[in-house]
Amino acid sequence: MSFFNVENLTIKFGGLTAVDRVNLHVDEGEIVGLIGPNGAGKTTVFNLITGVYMPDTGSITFKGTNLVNMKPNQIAERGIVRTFQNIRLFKGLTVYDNIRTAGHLRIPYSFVHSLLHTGLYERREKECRENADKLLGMVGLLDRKDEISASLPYGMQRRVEIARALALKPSLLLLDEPAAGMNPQECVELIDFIRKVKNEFSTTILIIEHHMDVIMNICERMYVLNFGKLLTEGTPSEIQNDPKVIEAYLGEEQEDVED
Amino acid sequence: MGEFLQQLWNGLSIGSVYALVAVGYTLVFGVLKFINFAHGSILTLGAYIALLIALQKVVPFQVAMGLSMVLSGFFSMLTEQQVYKKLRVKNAPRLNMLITSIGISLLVENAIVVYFSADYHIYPRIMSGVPIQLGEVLIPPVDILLVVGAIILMLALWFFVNRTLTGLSIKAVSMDRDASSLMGINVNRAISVTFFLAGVMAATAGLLIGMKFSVNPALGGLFGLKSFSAAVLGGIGSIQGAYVGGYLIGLLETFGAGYISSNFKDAIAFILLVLVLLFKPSGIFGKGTKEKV
Amino acid sequence: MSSGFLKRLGALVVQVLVVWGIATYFKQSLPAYPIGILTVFCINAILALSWNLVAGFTGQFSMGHAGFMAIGAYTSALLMMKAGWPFLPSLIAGGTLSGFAGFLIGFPSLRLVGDYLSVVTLGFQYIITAILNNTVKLTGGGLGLAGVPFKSTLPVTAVILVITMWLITNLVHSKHGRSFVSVKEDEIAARSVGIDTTTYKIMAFVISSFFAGIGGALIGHYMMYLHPDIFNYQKTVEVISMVILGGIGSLTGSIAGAFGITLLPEVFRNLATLFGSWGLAAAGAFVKKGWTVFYAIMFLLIMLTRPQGLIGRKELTWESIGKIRLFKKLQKKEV
Repeated sequence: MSFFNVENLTIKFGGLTAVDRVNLHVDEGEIVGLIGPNGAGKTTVFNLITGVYMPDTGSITFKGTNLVNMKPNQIAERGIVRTFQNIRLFKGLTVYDNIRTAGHLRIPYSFVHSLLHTGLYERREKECRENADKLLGMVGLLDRKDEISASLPYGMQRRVEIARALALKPSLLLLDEPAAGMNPQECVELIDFIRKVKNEFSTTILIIEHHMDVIMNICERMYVLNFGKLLTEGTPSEIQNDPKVIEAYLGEEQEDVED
Repeated sequence: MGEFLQQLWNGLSIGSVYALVAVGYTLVFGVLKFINFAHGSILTLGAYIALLIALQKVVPFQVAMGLSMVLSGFFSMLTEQQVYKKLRVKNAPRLNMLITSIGISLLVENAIVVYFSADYHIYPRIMSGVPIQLGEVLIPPVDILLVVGAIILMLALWFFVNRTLTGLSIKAVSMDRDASSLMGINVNRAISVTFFLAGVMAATAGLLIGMKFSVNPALGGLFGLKSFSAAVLGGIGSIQGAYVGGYLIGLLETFGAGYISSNFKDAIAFILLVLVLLFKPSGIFGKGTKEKV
Repeated sequence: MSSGFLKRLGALVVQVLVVWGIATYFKQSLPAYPIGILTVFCINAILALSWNLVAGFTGQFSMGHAGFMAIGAYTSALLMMKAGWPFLPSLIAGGTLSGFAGFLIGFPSLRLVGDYLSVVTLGFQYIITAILNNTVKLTGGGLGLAGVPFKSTLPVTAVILVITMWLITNLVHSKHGRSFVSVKEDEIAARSVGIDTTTYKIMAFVISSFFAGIGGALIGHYMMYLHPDIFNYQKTVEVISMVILGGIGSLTGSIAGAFGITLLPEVFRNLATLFGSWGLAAAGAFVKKGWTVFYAIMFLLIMLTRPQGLIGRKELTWESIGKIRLFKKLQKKEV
């Protein structure tokens, strides 16, 4: 029984098969990359894994349980947590409240305790605050915790989103283009940061990324998607020299020129 | 059989009114993607402007009604240009549009109560009240005006939207506002025209209700909500859907009242609304959409 | 039991006692007119808080609040009148039944977003009105229900307001409160961090309609008369305007807004009398008759110029009052 397994995953939107019979697996403790040209279906795979979309066929198993038909919140509860390509923070809330909101699953107390602010409430909230402080310290945003999250610069919002995901103590973290919009210096920092996350939280990571230097640096293995289909899989050096991959990316670039 | 036909006719005549109002909800929802809570109050406004003009005793009531249709259309357009547009350009949350439309309905209804009082008002009679006997069915002459008038107006609107350039621009804006603007369509003008048309249709419905029953300042609330149910039933955003939904609500309500219980006549439309939203939120003619993540 | 909890509970008891004392003193020393206004303010504040919880915090724009109020009002009144129940159990039963109705309405709301939910809840209010109009034997229907026992004295309503405020404030500052807000902020993000948005929506509906039922019951026990038309669309809009005035998502804002909206008709009424006493009879009559139009215009102006309300999402605290510019200037002068 493997840690995380996707078999024969397929979804169609109208006439378009966005994800076509995709198989992939992630072992515990790995950092695995998912790459491919624009529109290859990478984010759709994430949406399928996290229950935002229901697959037409296929299975998604995590630690032996089938995730298909589960609601997104149930999947998050089981330890698969994601970030979003275009960042979905609770924009009107402070950085601190973003993290505390996400920590809600890991601080068990019932409604009555909320209503009466009992001793249990107090202890659990204290844990929650300490945990939020710790996470914010780790992403280096402790000094900005009381700012409204939407007012932060883009790069910091990304870090808040990752910290928010970590508040759930995930066993599998899905990162959707964490380096988007970052300059080379920030990319180097991000690589260190992701390694640190993996070590400190002993979490497994599946990552979608366009920045090749980022993905080649941190991934042990990677999958390449093209037009919804799995093109190939392998180690970074294997992928870099695979003519099929080069063709897929070159094709895209030519299209870009025509546009 | 006689009773059935009678109910059928009654359902069609009240359904015409719902259809006229429903199409306004649908048109406005199409271009702005929000439910205009003030739309029902345009119906009330139309009914009372005619009364206001008639009370001056300068022009015959028929002329007053015509003027009321046009003025209500302009008022509807004005609410868009002076209020909703200001929120639109600020990129205000949709919720604010909704709350603001409640404010407009409050303004219209309170103004009418202040000027006319909250009581019922009867229209001057402009046609014979003696029903025409058609087989076993009794048809009041005003019903004929109601059904025929509504159908003519609906056909005119359909023709306008599908066959004229302005009408097509409304359709384009409904499909994709940003793309329409890029293609050189005057989006603001299309939205204004939409509000004008919706206002005229709603005012006409108010006038027809006034001729058939009586008017009161709370008229638009109940009729507005039932017509909205009709628009949802037909599939919001679809013009023929609004027509079909209007007639369906009219018929179901009349038959429900006739054959089940008249006590809960007003509740039938809302129960239908809840059922449609639960089981087929896109309505009869609507298209489903998936939210992009 | 921690000392913190006992301290907070003690503070609540002190607040309740102080408010009870002040309200009882007012009741004995003030004329009936201001006492009436204060009582109505307390009831309105409870209603505003309850609507703010579901709409302001959870983002579920309910337009059926009057329907929930009606359920609470009729339940409590009828239990006292026909079943001989005492006041407090009747009141709580009224709130509970209303909360149950909130559960039933919250259920379809799971699948509805934004504007649709508003319309369905508004339809619910019309259904309640239809039911009340057609149960003449029980509720008096369109004839109204006279002889509801008078129980909403100023001390009673003031204490219920204090307790309501305490409970809702506690709730908002808890993981449940944060989850409510997350539903409003971004449902997809909320689900992605494991928040069961459906459950929280229903929960918000139930709690909000519970307090709406309590508020409605207090209205009945204040007016000593009930009629289906008391709980109409306009009543819902009145509650909404309190929250809008104060600031959506601010609890102290709701209370300030309730105060403003309760006072508004009285201000206009007194203005009319004042104009009359100056010999401006026409102006007086105009103000007296037309104030509802001003009210509507005010509503629109707030939405157009300051949609976040007077206070916005912040809470009014003694500290923040000190920060208001006017007070700052005063303080500077003192220095």
